[in-house]
Amino acid sequence: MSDPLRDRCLEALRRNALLSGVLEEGYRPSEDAVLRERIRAAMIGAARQRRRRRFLLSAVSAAALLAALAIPSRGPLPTPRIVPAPSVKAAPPEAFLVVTTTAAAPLFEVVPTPSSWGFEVVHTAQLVGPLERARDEELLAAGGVLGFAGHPGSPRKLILAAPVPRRFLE
Amino acid sequence: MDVRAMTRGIREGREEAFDAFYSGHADRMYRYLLVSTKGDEERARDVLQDALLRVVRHLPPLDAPEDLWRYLTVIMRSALVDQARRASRHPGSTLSGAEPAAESEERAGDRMFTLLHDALAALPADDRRIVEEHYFRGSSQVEIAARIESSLKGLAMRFSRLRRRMREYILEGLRRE
Repeated sequence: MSDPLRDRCLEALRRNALLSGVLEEGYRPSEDAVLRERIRAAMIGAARQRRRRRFLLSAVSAAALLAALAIPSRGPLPTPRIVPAPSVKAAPPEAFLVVTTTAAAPLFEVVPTPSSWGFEVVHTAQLVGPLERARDEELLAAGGVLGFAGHPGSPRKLILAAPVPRRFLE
Repeated sequence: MDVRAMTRGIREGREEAFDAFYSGHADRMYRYLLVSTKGDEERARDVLQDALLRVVRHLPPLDAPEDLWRYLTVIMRSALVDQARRASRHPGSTLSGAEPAAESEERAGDRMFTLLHDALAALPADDRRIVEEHYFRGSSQVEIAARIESSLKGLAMRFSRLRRRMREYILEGLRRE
């Protein structure tokens, strides 16, 4: 049984074979040794040039990378920033309502504490309870300061060491 | 050797890749150029050399055979255009200065086959018959030689002469177009 598609393919193949045979009667580059050699030499030259270019490129890249890495170590070391030591001084008087036990107002009541405690305890209108010693260690380190009291935003009270009048303890 | 290995091999300058490429494509490229130059063999050879040089210098890595042939046709067209421009700058040149039209391989193939058909029809009846017997009906040269009572060598020479005549007819047809 005839298959039209198969017949067409066979016909095309046969025509191709004839055309190839006809054209091969003349010049054939595949048999031209001189041309082949010329093209081969060009290919080898191009490949060599390509390798050389790649080598140069990688060398330049490596040099650039090394330079980039070396620049920070070659430069002068950055001068360390001298941070001035914080000077310990008493807070300005207007920032705190300074209360000494000698000049305590009626609003202020000192609670008796054991003599071994390093600070006094006061009752004020703003704060009830023990003073927060750790609030500002540097300030506390200043002579005579025992602590300060007060919530954020409220008047703060600085407690200074002084003889406690007996009348407030009663 | 597949196209992937061949194109990469050429870029690396490997001989076996070059041999595979040259053996497999140079003749086909020349046939294409023969049509594109309208049968001008000298010009087709010049352009082929130029195109092959460009290919081995700039061939990118490719994966598929159709990509390679597409690349080769682009290179050949570009070489044809450049060659035509060079020729137009040298009026004394024997080469035609006209830029070739872009030629698809299908169109080139169609023209070739039309001319092949005409060349076959132009052969004397006896000659045409043996060509058709051998190429279209698959008879061997031994069978044909026995039928026409000729030696095998004599038949081979006759075939060669007929192919040359058909080739001349085709090239002449291309030149006329």
